[in-house]
Amino acid sequence: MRHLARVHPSTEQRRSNREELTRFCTHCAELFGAPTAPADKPLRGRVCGNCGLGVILTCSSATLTAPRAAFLVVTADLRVSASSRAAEDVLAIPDGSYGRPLLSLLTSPAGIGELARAVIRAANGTLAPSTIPVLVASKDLEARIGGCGNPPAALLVLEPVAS
Amino acid sequence: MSGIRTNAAAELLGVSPNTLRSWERRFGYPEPRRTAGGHRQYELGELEALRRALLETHNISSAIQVARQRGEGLGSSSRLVEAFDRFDEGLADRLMEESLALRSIERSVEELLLPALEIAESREGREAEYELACRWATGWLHAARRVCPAASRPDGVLLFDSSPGLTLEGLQVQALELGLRRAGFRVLLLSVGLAQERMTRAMRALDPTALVLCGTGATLDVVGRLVYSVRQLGSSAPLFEYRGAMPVSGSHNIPSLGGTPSEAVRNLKAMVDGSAFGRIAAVASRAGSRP
Repeated sequence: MRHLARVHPSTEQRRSNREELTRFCTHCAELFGAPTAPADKPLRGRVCGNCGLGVILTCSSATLTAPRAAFLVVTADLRVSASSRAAEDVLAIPDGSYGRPLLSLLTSPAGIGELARAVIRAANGTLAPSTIPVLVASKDLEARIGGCGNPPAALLVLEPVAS
Repeated sequence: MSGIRTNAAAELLGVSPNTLRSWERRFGYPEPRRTAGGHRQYELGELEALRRALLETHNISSAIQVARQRGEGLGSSSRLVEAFDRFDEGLADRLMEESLALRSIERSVEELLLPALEIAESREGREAEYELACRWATGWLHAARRVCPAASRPDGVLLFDSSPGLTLEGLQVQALELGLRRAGFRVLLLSVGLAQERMTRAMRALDPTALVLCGTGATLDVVGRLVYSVRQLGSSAPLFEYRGAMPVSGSHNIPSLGGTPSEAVRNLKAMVDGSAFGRIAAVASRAGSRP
């Protein structure tokens, strides 16, 4: 089953070079370009200035390619620690997805073991994304899974299956 | 105590004053006091808790949830549980150290360590965290026991433990042992299932003034044999139970020391020091080998 999770080829080529990074809001999913904040002021720009409800995280620009995407931020213990507004619409859970086990929200035709492995790998620091088919609320989608942070977590970007 | 004005609070958190006010409306946190002039005054503790939480979480509502829990004060049991969840023994040590700066060892154990273990035990699917919590707490209690002053009382207390291995109940017994040592008693903790011939030397060395049945793993038969063995060895020390250790659902004639280590230590001290102890000892002596 492992071969069903394919690694994004364009990112794979860049892995030897410096990763291209982008910052994004965990709530409104706006993109803010590469990180520029000085290390001695970690809170400067930590909270999204647009919506005031999301935290600004960093990920590979190959994982999150467009603003206002539907995504989940998942910790290494496979719990959802944040979700974008668009993802909440896709998941359609009245109480929100925060704190829920990821595998209670979505499954994968490739197997939940494969999905869990991809998420844990990303949550442990692998920025380069891999793509895996997922089933969310009876909808067939694709999840692009890459690392993000800080604190370290996996970013699952939910998208329609590429034809 | 003076609070922090909105602009300074917003600066501290790296947000705009408008964002800070919107959190107050939406989440009710941070919740400022108002001056006579109607200006907001934020508590530094709340801001500090939120500042740390923002760096550790992935969205504002969870950051506020974490900050609220931390707002319970220094070294709250929820923070200790958080340390267990992160498998961070260093943080757990630090929280206990913080607590010891404000509370006694006894209060730190009863208000922080044991409640955190209760929370850790009650959660499903968190067995690894609970095991870590038990192992860490065992180590902490042993370390605290090692720095206890020498016994200052002639009275010896023999604890018979029937709790299964690495559990909260076992740690309650260890906490009682620590409390008794700190109260100046000579203490020996033995397993309830020990054979009579193995107990002889221990009984002679300690010459206990009181026997305490602890843990919830003993059957009535085991308790009966234990008391018989003790009486055979010539001891007339009265038997007490701790935290409902007697394996009977109805009434029985074994006096209870209470449900917490400090309560048990207090009761035992009162009984040893006061006249009540003499009466209980006499009753136990007459009762012979009956538990």
